[in-house]
Amino acid sequence: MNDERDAFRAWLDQGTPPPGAQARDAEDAWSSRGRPVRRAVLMTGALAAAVALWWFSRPTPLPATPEYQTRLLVSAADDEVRIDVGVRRRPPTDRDD
Amino acid sequence: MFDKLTLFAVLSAAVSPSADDPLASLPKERIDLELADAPVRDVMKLVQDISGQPVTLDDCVEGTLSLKLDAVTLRSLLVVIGDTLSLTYARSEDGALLVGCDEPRPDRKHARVDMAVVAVPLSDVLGTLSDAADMPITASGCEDVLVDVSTSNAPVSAVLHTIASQASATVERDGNALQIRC
Repeated sequence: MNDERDAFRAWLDQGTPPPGAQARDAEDAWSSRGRPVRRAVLMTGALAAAVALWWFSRPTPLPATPEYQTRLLVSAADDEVRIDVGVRRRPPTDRDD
Repeated sequence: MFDKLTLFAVLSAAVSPSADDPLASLPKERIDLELADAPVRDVMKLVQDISGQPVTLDDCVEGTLSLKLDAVTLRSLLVVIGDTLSLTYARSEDGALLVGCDEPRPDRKHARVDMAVVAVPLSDVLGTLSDAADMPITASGCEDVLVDVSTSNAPVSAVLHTIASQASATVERDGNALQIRC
């Protein structure tokens, strides 16, 4: 106990760190320097996971063709028939492979 | 039972490109046309001029029609006119299209369908048509086909043919069912 106190006094007087103090300081410094890095790594990982989740769950984009390509309207007496038809082909996606 | 068989015969004749389908040899081009209160005999003469095939009308063929067509095949047009005015089609030995009259009995009226869907799989639409016609109508090789369909009071056969024509597909008989092949 006295040795420790003496060592501390020596450190105060001479600027010599007591045994173990230097290592603890270095550890603290490393720890405080590493925290933002770890946070950045975690945030990047979370962002990548969110983007991947969105990419694989997004709806398949529809082909941009006109909605109705054929229109027919026939009326005779009180009978009226209407037919509007358009056909699109779903583009292949990565998920179809 | 009779009605089901009649409907099947009508659907098959309307969509199947077989030799006994009187409308099978009509040109596949799509036409744009707008007519108001035109006599059906004039419309049939127009069909003759456009198709280049002789059309012979029975004396019973009468009535007037209003048409508004955008990119419609002659076959779709004739199926709808035939259903609306209770007309029948046949081919003479020399290849002329014979247009006659069916008895306009309500119980012989073909299945009609109202629907409005956008970008749905073809198989879903065929399910609706199948229910309306009370017969199996399926698709093969059409998994990538999405359709926009909006109809009002439309004969199932005409809707089916219009979709098949638009998707460059063929309609085949498969026993008592119909199948669209893409």
